[in-house]
Amino acid sequence: MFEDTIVAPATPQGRGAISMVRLSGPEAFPIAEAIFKPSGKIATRKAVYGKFYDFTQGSFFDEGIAIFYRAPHSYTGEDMVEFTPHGNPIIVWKIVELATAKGARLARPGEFTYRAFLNGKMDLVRAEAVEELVEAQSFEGVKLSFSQLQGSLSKRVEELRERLLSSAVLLETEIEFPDEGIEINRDELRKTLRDSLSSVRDLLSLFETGKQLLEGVTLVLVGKPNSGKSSLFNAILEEERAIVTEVPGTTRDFLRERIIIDGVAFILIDTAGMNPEPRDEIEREGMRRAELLLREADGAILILDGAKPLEPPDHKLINLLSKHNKVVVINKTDLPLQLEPEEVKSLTGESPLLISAKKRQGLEGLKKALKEKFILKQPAQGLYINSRQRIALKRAEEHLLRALESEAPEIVAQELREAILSLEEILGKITPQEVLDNIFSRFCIGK
Amino acid sequence: MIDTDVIVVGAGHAGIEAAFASAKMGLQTLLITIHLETVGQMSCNPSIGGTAKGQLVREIDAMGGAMAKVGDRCGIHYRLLNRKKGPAIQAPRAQEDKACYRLAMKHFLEEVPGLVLYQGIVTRVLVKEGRASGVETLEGIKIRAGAVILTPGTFLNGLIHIGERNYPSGRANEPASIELAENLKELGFETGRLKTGTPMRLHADTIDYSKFQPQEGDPDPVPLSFWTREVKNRIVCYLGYTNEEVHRIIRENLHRSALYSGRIVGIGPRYCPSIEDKIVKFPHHSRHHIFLEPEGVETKEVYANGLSSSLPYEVQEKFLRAIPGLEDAVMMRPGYAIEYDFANPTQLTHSLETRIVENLFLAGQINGTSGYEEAAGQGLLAGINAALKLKGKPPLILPRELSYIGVMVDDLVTQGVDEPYRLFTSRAERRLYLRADNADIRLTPLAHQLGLVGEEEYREFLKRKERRERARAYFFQEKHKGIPIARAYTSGKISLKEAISLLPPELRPENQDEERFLDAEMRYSGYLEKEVRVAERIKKEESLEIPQEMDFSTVEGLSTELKEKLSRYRPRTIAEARRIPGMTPAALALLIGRIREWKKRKSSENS
Ligand SMILES: Cc1cc2nc3c(=O)[nH]c(=O)nc-3n(C[C@H](O)[C@H](O)[C@H](O)COP(=O)(O)OP(=O)(O)OC[C@H]3O[C@@H](n4cnc5c(N)ncnc54)[C@H](O)[C@@H]3O)c2cc1C
Ligand SMILES: Nc1nc2c(ncn2[C@@H]2O[C@H](COP(=O)(O)OP(=O)(O)OP(=O)(O)O)[C@@H](O)[C@H]2O)c(=O)[nH]1
Ligand SMILES: [Mg+2]
Repeated sequence: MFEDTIVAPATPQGRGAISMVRLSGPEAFPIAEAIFKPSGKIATRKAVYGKFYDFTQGSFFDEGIAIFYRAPHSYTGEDMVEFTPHGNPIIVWKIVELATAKGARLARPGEFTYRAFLNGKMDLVRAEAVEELVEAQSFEGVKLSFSQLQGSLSKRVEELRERLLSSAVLLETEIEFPDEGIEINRDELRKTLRDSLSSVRDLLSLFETGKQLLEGVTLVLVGKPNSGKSSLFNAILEEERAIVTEVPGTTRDFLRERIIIDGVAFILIDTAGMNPEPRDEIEREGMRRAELLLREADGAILILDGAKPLEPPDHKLINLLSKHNKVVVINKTDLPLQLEPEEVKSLTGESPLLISAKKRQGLEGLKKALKEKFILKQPAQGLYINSRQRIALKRAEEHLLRALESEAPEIVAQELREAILSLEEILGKITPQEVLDNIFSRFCIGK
Repeated sequence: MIDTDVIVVGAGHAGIEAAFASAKMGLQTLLITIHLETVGQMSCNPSIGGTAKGQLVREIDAMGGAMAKVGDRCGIHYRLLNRKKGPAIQAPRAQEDKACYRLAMKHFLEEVPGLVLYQGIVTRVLVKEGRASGVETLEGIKIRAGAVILTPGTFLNGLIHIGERNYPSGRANEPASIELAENLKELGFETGRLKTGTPMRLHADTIDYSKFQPQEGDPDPVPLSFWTREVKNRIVCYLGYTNEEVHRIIRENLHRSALYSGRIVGIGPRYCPSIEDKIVKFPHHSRHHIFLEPEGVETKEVYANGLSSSLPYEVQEKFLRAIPGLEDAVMMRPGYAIEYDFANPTQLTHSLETRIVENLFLAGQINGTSGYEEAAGQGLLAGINAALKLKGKPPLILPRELSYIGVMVDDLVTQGVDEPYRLFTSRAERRLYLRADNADIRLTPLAHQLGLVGEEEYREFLKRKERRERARAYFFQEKHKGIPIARAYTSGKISLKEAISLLPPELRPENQDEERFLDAEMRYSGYLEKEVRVAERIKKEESLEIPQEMDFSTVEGLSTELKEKLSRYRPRTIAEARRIPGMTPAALALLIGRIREWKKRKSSENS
């Protein structure tokens, strides 16, 4: 348990119907009672109506709801109070200020969840899921991280760990007590190792889909100046987000917007006039940053101006994107076509889509193409892994593979130990004594 | 009475090594023990070594200790455990002629310059200004010293149980150390109760060995000590089994056992259970092992390994009758259980000095461990550190990455003990490196620096070391049919024998241990390299020192429980902090951050 009490607004800055302020720690109740005067008796875990009181001036300043939670039955595992005043930042910060005047400390980012973790209310996976739930970019992502928060991944990892642990126990018993003549069944051991390996691999395969559902698919719009990137951007978003002019080089910065296609968020980035032959410092910088963006993105939409024949900048951009996942679009097809789709196909390896951003033609086809190209098959289990978990699972995979390659018990044991440690890292715990404890509860050791 | 530099109380396995190390390091050392006849007495089973313990014995030997050398002088039955498995988990074990061991050990100590053996019972540690200044004996003699090492074993408030009877005693009919136990509490030590037990000893001529399977020693016995050239098997042990009838008799009389009648409060070792324990905990087992181990060459006493019991004498006799081959066996000593005090080792630093009284060191069973080797390893370290302390030098702390002694001490002082602690190889993170065959390479140079290993022995060691290391290099560099010999061996293309035959004659191993070293270095090469790398990374991160003046209670964000534990254990480094029970990675990360901040602030305050 922590000694200090923390306080922070739990809803974003800004005005709304209501906001929330959270207090957690041993002093949460007394501090809350100084600020909040309930209309009736306070019952824990029940909403109670009351008035917010400024004890520095002896006056009331708002009314609302408070819920008191008694440790350990709260989110953080400590005494906790949640105030729901009206949604005005002035009110919210007044409450925070009054709480700090009574000895609370402003919470650091994530500290409520961090406390929940340290107080054993959730393991590391679940703590991370809270963050991911809040940040999810699509509803599918929200559902996924909620399932994670419910412990679906933790459960799987925990099961896997226990399975490996019991193999380790058997193996260690054989090693430590040679007089007892215990020989562990190698076929069973190998089967456990193989099963565990495939479970680890199943989990690993969740990474890409999970990432997509949570973070979305980031696509960069690439095309020479004036090819109609901003027009297409607006057309897909169905709003006039970017400025469109006849002047090449209109867009000078990046615009980032989100659309949902089939439950998956696509984050589109309209780039500054991508001119592979920059005419000034601004364009040069724009080009550099666009290339950086491309490296981090999941793919690109290449826009060719259909009203013009292919020009050197087009060729350069085609080249630049040769290794990227992309959809190729020929824009301005409302005007007479000046380039050959077959040639584009042979240059880019993609069948170009004929579109008119201005007339909003061919957009459904584009969305369909994006969906086919970029949306991964969704995991059925409602599980995902984040990159930290992936690194640890990769390590577990490696150790299991090596355990399978060896016959020597001390080497298998070593690899098992490392694999178990990797899994424990995912859950955020370490347990050295456990192997031994298990030996004794399962076996009769004489001598 | 002679005042001295270091006083060691108790000439058990811990006290012996402590006194030996301290004297070797040039300090006047007085070893006081209750009976000079029982120096190095093996209270329970007659063997030294075994899994993890064998590695530990080798470490003690590598540091110049007495156990392995004397053990080889009196060894009568040798086995290398896990012989069919890899070299990292192979461990030497020797059964001793107990009487020989006592005598040889006493003689060994008598020959050490600067070491005096004295028969007496210590009742009190004298403390002046928070610092140990000597001891007082039962006769009222006060002996002054700069440092005191307590190794009273199971004698500390010992209470023997046989069936319904119990009486104070430190080991079968030897006096318990009751005043010393009281004194420790007065000094402020927190003590607890543990228990252990021993089986009956039988008269060899009353055993029908034809009903047992003989267990011969190894045809090519491996000595305990690096410096012993040859040892022989002189006896045979026998293996037999209990049966349902035995179990029935025991079950019917359980209420009469000291343990199950509730008269014993101390916690016993799970890995060394009494026969009644085994029957209660594993009701589905229809039989249990019995090993009959002669206690010496010139004695008829036979140790009935596996039958440890605190049942009344008549019940012990009754169940013996039900064991084929023991129907007529005559007990020369009954089995019994013993309860004793221990001082929780979290009260010690990594040098085994107490945090409560300066210059007072504790080693052996008093720290909650069990086993001769565990006691000896701690004794050695305590002896070294008492000597270093009096010489005004920094303590020797053995990292757990480098030795089983380090693993054990680190486990003890950071985790504490709630049941008798025994070493296991699985307690070591670096099991493939902490081996019996390389203990000398790991530790002898250090021991030589400390003055524990003499010049002649050291020269011999250097030769052994060089031969092994050059042979290893040869295996990795030279090729056999186009591939390095080491790889040809690990991929199964050639056998170890063939690999060795490829060595130039002067690099060929001279004994099994040297062979095993080469075997291990080839087999585990991938791991050993990785372990070195990992160890370096960990060392960097974990050697981050925690300032001793840092106040943990002000570290915001740590749980009160952890704050309290940190203040209690006062870890010196992140590595130690990590081993505190309940420490989470998140809390550790927080701690690292706060230490860095703290150090930054300090250094800017200073500049
Ligand atoms: C009945 C019994 C069963 C055991 N069973 C097992 C087992 O199955 N497995 C196992 O691993 N270990 C067993 N042990 C424990 C093993 O004997 C000890 O772990 C080991 O001997 C501890 O070594 P030590 O040096 O700490 O103490 P000990 O070997 O007990 O030596 C203590 C020495 O201190 C002396 N002493 C005590 N008090 C005083 C005093 N006040 N003044 C002067 N001298 C003093 C004693 O005379 C003795 O010489 C058993 C011990 C007993 C008694
Ligand atoms: N006829 C026709 N004109 C289009 C179409 N799409 C865009 N345009 C015109 O092309 C010009 C450039 O459009 P933008 O969308 O600003 O092009 P851009 O690629 O973003 O240009 P920069 O930001 O300058 O690189 C504008 O005049 C648009 O009206 C289209 O589908 N058909
Ligand atoms: Mg634009």
